[in-house]
Amino acid sequence: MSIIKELWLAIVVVLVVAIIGSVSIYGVTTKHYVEEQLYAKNIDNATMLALTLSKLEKDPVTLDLFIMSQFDIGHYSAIILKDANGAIISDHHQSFQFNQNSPRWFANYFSPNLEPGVAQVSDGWSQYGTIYVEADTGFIVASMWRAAYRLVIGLLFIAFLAGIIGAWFLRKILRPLDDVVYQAEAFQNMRFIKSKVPRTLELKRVVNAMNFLAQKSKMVMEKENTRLDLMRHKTQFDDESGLANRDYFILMLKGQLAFRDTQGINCVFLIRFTVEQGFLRIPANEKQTRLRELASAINGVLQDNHHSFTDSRIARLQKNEFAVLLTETHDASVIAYAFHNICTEIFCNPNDPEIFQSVVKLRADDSVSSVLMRADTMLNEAQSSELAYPSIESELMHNEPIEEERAWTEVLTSAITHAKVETFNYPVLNAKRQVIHYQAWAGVDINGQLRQSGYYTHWARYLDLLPQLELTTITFLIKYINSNKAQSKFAFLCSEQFLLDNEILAQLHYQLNANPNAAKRLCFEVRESTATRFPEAFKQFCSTLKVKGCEVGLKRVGESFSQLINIQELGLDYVKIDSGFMADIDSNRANHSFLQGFCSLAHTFGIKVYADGVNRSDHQELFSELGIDGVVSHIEVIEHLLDD
Amino acid sequence: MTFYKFALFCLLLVALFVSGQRTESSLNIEFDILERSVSTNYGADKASVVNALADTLLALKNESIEAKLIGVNSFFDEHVEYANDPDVFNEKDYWATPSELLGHSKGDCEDFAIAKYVALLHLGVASEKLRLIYVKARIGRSRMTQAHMVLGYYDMPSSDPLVLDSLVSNVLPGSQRTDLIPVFSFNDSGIWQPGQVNQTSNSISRLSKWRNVIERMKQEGISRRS
Repeated sequence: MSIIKELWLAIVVVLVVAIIGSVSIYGVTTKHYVEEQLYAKNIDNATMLALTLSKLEKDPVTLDLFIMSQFDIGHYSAIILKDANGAIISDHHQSFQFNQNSPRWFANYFSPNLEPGVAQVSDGWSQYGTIYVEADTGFIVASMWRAAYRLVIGLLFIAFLAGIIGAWFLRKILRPLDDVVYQAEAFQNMRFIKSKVPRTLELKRVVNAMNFLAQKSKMVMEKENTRLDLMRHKTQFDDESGLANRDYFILMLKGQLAFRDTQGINCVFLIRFTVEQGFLRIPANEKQTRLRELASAINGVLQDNHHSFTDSRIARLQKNEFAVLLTETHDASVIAYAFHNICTEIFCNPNDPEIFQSVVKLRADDSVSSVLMRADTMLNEAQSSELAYPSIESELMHNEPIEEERAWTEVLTSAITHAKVETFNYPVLNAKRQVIHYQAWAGVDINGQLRQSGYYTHWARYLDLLPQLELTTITFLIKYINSNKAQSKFAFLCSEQFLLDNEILAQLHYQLNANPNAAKRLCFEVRESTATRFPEAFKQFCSTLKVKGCEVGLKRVGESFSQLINIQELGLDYVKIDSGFMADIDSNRANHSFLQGFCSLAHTFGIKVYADGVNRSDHQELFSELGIDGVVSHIEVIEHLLDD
Repeated sequence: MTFYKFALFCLLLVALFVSGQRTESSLNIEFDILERSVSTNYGADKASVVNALADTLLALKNESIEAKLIGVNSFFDEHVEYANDPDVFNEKDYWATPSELLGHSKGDCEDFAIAKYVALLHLGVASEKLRLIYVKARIGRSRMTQAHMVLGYYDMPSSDPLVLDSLVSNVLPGSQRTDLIPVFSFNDSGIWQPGQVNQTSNSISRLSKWRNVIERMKQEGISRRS
């Protein structure tokens, strides 16, 4: 029973007891008072009568007449005159007159219990007899019942008023309790949120204690993140430009080539400025300022065009070269021109270096060196021919004809309408090779061929159909889970557009509400970069989905984890480390200590750490040493395996 | 635990209350209490009168009814002087208890009558045979009358009563007392009757003089005990 119900029960019990108590006390007191009064009246009347009768002629008829007249006119229930030997001389009485308005039980309990008034009648010197007088009590019961009835009604009215005031007061008292319970439950889900301190002393103490804990965990999170960032910066960052260094970029590129889809349009942009003008020999701090200016300009372009690609990596590849890796890109040439323009704008002074750029698309059979070599060759050619615009690989250059756009619209709309989606499920395994959940990748049936997300994502995003398409996939998953008796969970990666589309989110919530069991078996994840860019939306996303029993995770984690604000308040279930960190895990010592620190931090907040992009099974020992809880397998599980 | 203690306490209280309401039958004078009451209020020398009363009543215990009437009558005539209420109690009409009567050694007609009534009841005379009688008394041979109270003993309900008068030392039948005209008589029936719950004992202020004096007598050790 909830506390509000219990308090109400207590109030009702108190009121009932108070009403019953006061009515009983009223009844008993009144009865006693009436008895006292009437007994006095009885005695006085008897004495009066006896005195008068003593003076009268002792003729039975006269006596009877006298007594009868008294009885008939006055309020008596009995007047009896007995002679000295106890024989009745005159007896007038009426049976108890029960008033129909008062209930029988009330009369039984509260009828005055009276002794008759007794007095002696004498005849000269000798005794004549004794007179007994009893007053009528019927009318008293009736009036007592009326008064008791009024009392009950009055008390009920007061109780009702008290109830209204009590309800208001209770709500006022208990409102902060809801917040405290919410906070406590959030803690239980490893969400270390702070809440407003209520006024009630006990609740205040609880909230203060919990807020202290929340503050403490926030401090731990921030401190550890700072430490990890420092560690990472040492090996993966270029101090001058504030960007990632060559090693890091190679790792990311390696991860991309090894583990990501090969159907999508993923491209590398290489931006070079010439050194002949002596830029590298200018004073160090000036050089740093200008390099940082350039870096932030390139980042600015990425920020402006974030709807044109899924993921971006930027690094300083050489002293005079910047590289950008974009995945699932739409209109790479537009971005390339934006880079070129912004860079030439920054280097516009007479003695400033010239800017050259090349853009290459990653091919399915590419290796890191082949990609970089291709880009380098194109860049060299551009430089030697002094090309004043980016040199873009022909595969990226076809300027999307209207027909193609129409065809894509048609294909994707029909996929959404007819739910022509499926999922590719990759198991996430723990150290004992048991399935934690399946990583579900969307696949869309395009012209009779099942295509992975890389193939269509940039178009879906361009046509604003991506959120809808993802929702269709989630719907498919829910249906699949409902029809599938196995208890496995499915993780689905949501795009930035999905996260920001309130209408689609509302539909998702509706579906999850309608399928509470399926909801408990779904894990929603977004990219770390998305969460960092839209912290409020992500927070909202987490809290809503957690309530429905879903798990929430982050994917491609590593680069900007420390920039996630108040991550301890989100209640994340897991994070998946970017495949880039795993690419050379057996050789990269520096990465080990970073991962170790990262895992222990995550575990402090109840967050599991899974590794993405692991294709070897001989790292088990290393992984458990680092604290990694599971790995995303690289082998797709076909449906009949899932059914086991 | 506290609740049980409380319940037990309540039960005990109820038991006491019930036992306090037990029936009262024969009247008894507790001379210890009476003596203490007199000696505290009026001095130790007055307490000797109480002892004398106790001795007298003890001696009369097994005597005939006439001897009892005469003995009681003469005891109070001997030890108490007739005086009017305003002189003794500073009140116009005050009904004194036996202790007050013996303490002051003074009293008027009703004080005598009450003390004798109580003494006779103590000796085992049935209360329905005794009545306090308001009489109109003619003083001497004059035609002047005054209100007076005597105690009457009725051998039979309809018989001529023997009258114990504070002004006359003899115990005479009513028919011989031509100087007295009976007006009204009463006794403690309806007040001290066995089996009766005393309903007025809770509010002294509302008591009649007669009930008041009965209540006060109880304090002084004169009450009906079973």
